[in-house]
Amino acid sequence: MSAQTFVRLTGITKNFGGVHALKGVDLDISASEVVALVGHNGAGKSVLVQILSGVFPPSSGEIRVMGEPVSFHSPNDARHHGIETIYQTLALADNLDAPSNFFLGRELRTRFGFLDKRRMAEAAGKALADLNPSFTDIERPVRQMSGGQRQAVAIARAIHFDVRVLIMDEPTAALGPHETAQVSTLIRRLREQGIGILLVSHDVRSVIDLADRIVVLKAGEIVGTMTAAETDEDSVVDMIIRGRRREPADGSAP
Amino acid sequence: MNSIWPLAPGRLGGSRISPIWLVLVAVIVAAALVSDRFLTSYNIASVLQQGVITGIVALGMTVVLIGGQLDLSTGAIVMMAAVMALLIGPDGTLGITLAVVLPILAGATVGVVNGLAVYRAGANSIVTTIGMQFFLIGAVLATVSGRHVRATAIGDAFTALAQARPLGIPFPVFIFAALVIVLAVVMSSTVFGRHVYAIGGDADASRRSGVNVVRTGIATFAISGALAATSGVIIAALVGHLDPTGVGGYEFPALTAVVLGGTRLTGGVGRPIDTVAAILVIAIITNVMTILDYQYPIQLLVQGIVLTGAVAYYNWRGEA
Repeated sequence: MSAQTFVRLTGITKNFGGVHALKGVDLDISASEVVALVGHNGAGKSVLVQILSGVFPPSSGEIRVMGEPVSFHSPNDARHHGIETIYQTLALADNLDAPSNFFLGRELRTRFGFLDKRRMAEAAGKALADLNPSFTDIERPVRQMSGGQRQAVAIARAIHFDVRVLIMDEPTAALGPHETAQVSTLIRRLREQGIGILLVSHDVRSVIDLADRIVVLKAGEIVGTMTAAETDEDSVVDMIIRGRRREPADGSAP
Repeated sequence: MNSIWPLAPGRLGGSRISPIWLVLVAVIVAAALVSDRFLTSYNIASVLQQGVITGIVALGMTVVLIGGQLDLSTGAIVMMAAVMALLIGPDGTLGITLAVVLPILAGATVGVVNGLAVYRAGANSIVTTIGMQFFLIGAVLATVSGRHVRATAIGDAFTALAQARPLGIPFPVFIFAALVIVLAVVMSSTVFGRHVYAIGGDADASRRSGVNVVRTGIATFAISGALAATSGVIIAALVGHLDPTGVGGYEFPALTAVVLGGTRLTGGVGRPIDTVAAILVIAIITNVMTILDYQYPIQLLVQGIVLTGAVAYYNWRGEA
């Protein structure tokens, strides 16, 4: 693999008071690569996601983007470096319409400094139509939209702005089978476009078919990394539970 | 469709005209029918004069509440600003300038402190701003030793701020109108305004979307403080001397107007212009009751009914 490493995390730790949520995590994400980060609830997945997306800084360790050390003071810093995050909660302001959410935190302005509502509505409308041609009437509060439409708003805004690495936190947890299939198709398409994708989930089944590489997090540490070709669902589940690779000679019954 | 005209109903405040405007029309018609004194130009000027002092306070509280918080320190800020303006001695160009600028800066500063407590420290805004209210009332009364406050000198130019009547309209009405237009544009058409709606809708989602929630939130309280102080300065110019204990309690009439105007108590929805309609409704009801010789206790009672009724109505409509 000669793909360019977009993001490299080295020795990332995070302490909340006396709780060691992350105990030195190393993780790379490269171009055109889908990395699945799996583990139990409480393993530290969401802490790692929030560090990588700039919500809070690590206690120690280094983040490099395109080889350069960076420090994120806010989600906008991470986004400036091409790291976009789609949260399980979607992080939409329910009272605002789709264009307002699409451009939230990076609004377009007219030359007089006012919101350029028309340009934002056009750009958001086009991006959403690319994702879902039947998605019309985007200028209503997203509260009134379906789960799939809301997810489309969150996805469209994440991939619109020169994204290098896309973090998807439990991307299909709240979706029906049809919408899940759409998201899977989208992930493959983004991968072909050269984007690095980090899929974060507690549910191995939902990500194993999409991933090139599977990273298992347990109690704040990475206990194993496997390529999709050399593993299967059972092995990964086993590693999530036991924190180590299953020994073929291990005779104990499951 | 996008509305270019910032006062036009936009998606942020609901896509239709707020029912408060129908209420306003009904109240005007009813008032005119009940009393033939209502539609005299003197009385209308008096209604507007009454309305704008509470109205300016309510505008600021509207901005704070759209952001999802309550500012109940505004009544005490009005009192503090009025006393400050008189103590500074609004005479001569320098005196008048200071008597206008310093109280407003002080009001904004109080707002910044409120905002820091609420948005940086995560304190509950109701308790924080009630605490600030006690602090300010205590500080003002201690400063003036509980005595009547009288300015050493008051220039005519300062008095004119409240008492001049260009075109027969009290000058504070022009101040109010200017503030309404500015705030309507700020809330509907600037990044800051958009962010206030966003943090009122979902502060956590806004933060993750790159909105500076703390800075935006502090600014809403600073605006509220500055506007409440503006009302205080106008009161000082109107009366010239005052008993500090008599200048209080503006926060609840203002809150009544904000809620009656349809600003959602949990934040994220509302418009300054709708607060204006609500202010006029309340001012007219109060005015008619005064004309009909219903005294203050009855007016207070009606105001209580209006506040509670408005909250109940919007809840019932699923909008509060």
